[in-house]
Amino acid sequence: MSLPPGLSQGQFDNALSEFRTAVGNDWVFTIDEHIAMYKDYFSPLQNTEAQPIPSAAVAPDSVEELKVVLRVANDYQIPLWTISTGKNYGYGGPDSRVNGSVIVDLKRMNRILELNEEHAYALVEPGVSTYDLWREIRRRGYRLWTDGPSPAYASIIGNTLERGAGYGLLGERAAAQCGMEVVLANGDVMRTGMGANSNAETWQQYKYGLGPYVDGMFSQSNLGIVTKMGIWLIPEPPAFRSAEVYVSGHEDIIPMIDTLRPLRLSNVIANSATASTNQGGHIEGAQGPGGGAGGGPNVDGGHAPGLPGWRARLGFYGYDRVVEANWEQVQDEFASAIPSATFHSSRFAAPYNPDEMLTESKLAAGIPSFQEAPIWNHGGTFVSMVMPFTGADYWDFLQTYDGLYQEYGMRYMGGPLHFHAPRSLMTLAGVPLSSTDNAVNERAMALCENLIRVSGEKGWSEYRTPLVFMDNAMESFDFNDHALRRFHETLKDTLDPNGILSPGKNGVWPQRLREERA
Amino acid sequence: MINRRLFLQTSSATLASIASTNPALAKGIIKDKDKGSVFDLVLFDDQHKESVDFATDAKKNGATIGVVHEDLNEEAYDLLTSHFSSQRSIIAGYTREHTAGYILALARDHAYQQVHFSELEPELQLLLKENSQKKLVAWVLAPLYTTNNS
Repeated sequence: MSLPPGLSQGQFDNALSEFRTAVGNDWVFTIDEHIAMYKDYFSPLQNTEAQPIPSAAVAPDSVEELKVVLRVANDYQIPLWTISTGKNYGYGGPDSRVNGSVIVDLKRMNRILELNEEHAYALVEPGVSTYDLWREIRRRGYRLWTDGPSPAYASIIGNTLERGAGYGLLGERAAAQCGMEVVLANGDVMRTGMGANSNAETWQQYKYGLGPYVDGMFSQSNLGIVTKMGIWLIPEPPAFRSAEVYVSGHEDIIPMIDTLRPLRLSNVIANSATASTNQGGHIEGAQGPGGGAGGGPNVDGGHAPGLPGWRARLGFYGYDRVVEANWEQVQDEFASAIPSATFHSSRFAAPYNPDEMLTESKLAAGIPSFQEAPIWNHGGTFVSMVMPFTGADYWDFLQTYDGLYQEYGMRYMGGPLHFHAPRSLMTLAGVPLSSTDNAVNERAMALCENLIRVSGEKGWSEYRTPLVFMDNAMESFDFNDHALRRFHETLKDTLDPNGILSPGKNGVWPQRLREERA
Repeated sequence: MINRRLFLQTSSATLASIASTNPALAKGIIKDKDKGSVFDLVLFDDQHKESVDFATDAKKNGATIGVVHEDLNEEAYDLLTSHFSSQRSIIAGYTREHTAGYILALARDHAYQQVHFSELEPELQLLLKENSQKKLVAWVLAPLYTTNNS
């Protein structure tokens, strides 16, 4: 068993005893089989001593129990690592950054506290998955659509806090968040936005309240633990068309992106569109060192340059005539820019039957899918960059990344391009790992570190990053000698002086553990 | 590569081996398997002949069966989670490889472990319906333990 840094076995036993008093004996996990549940099976550090091992896990069922956990952690200066459902695969799963951390597992806090059809929102706890919410909407017969990531087992709060992407009308997940309840490191419970007015009925309807807007401080953050969150939903549209645009040439991605941009900016394409190679939704076992059957990340398009064309996935929603007019206009724009472009689409109308939809349509309709789970046996890790929304920039990215992959004996394995944040482009590079060959993982880590460094020099930075690269990724935000990181650290040291909450999350370390920075 | 007979032999042997080091598992689960199916739940892909045949046999021997192919439908999800919750069920699947991946991720949440995984022999990968994602794999999930902190 690992111990939290600086604690003796006796001190830790006392802390565990207090945790048990707080949450109940059944919900403090210490034996190896339990701790194994909190291992990231897709970590580049798997099978090495560098992979942090938790000392324990605690699973509170309420804010009151959580407050006691925080009090105990402060008393003993125990680093905690908070997870919602721990499904952040490709970015670290349930793993922590400091060996001997205690995992705070919020899966038991899985209540849908409010589901409002009239105003189209939900108020949820961290353990609620996109699938849970979708099913509850169906059970009640509400005419609401969800949006969210694939796969379906992701926590709504976890994914939103990580600023993940969906595929429908509210695909920029952080933008769909409205109001939160946060437990601060000192146990104080705060509600943001209109929730700060105890009498307000608009907590999930108006984000900002009065004064500085603080919700963003708790996303990708280690400044507090979010225990409730409002999430906007979508009134069921009367009609919906799921559409795809295909282009055959590899370089056609340049005019494809440049055609998409004005359509996305003007909201003619209103959903979180994606583009990927047109070899199909996924390539089984993208080949790389350690790949093979069930090998690398199951991501779109192993880019052998010159080979694949591309497809864009789009969605159109609303009144039938508007849907059809927008889709016709989009086809005209693409046909004008890329005469060889071809089109495919499927039209649906309320009442909707998910069983009639293929995965592409389901995702655009916000129907959670398990099929899109991106990882298989050996797993993989992601490098996900934000860059300008232009074809030229993406072409530069493709050439740069393929060159770097080749230095490590691979070809670029790209995931889909996401256009969920409508004024930028987000790329997803997959790097395969091995569960049996550490040399493969060492090479993958070296490649990722190089990708992040070179990207930073080009002005591209990660929108989200795996645990092991958090310090590297934050390093690229270097303006004024890392003024942003100094600001984060000032907040951290003020709000969490004992540094108990998720130390090292996204490169933000508390004072007492700052030497841990890579 | 594996076929049905070999799958049953190896997964039974694996379960017996695990039970030998886990008395709770041995008492609570393996003893119940002296007759009938080794498995409590079998998930199968109705687009693969071998998978359908395997599930048909399992059902005759008393196992609950559920269909799963591209995606996990609500019925299969409920079957899985209810068997996970029992902390006693042995769950087997003849599914597509990708399907096995996300089921394993769900299993870990419920303190289940993968105790067997293999790819089926090429001649057993026969399709009943046309589909490009045809690689069929066989797998078994068993509980890590039967009660918390046992």
